[in-house]
Amino acid sequence: MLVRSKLAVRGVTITGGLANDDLSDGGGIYMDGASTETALTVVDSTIRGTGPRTS
Amino acid sequence: MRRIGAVVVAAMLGLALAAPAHAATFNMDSTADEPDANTGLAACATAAGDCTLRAAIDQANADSSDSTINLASGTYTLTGANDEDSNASGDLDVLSRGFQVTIAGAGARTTVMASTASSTCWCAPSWPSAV
Repeated sequence: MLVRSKLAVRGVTITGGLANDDLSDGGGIYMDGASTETALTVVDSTIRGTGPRTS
Repeated sequence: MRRIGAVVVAAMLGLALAAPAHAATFNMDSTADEPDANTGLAACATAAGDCTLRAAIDQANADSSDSTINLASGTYTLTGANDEDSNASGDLDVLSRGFQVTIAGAGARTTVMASTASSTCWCAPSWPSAV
């Protein structure tokens, strides 16, 4: 999930390899740092990953 | 001069009190993973006429407004390759820069966004740790 906007997620469970990062070599939610308006808010949701990444 | 100032202040107040910008609301009626058929129509509709999560993101990316995407209970499974950033397949790409996109489920226990991809993480340039 590439995010280039203000994104709010609530009341949702995200699981099982939902998304890729911007490099398309793994999963995740990638926040595009080019925009100062980028923001992600997660409320009352569950996000489960199958492994951490730092890139 | 005072009259001009009063007009300017009145105009500014009018702008401040004007109705908020249009905000779109999309209510899902399908858990399928299909794109929007025509983002120029300002409606969330696949070729089959359903509003899906991917179609709603497509429309939100095209609209010049905030968008709220309401997901009913169920599992929304994303399919396809993750190798692009235009929301065509696989992961969702939220691109409506400058506008708020809200994905609202019926509850974390009942609304699930899943994928056929093999891995998940929480990645952000300024957040080195994963969740």
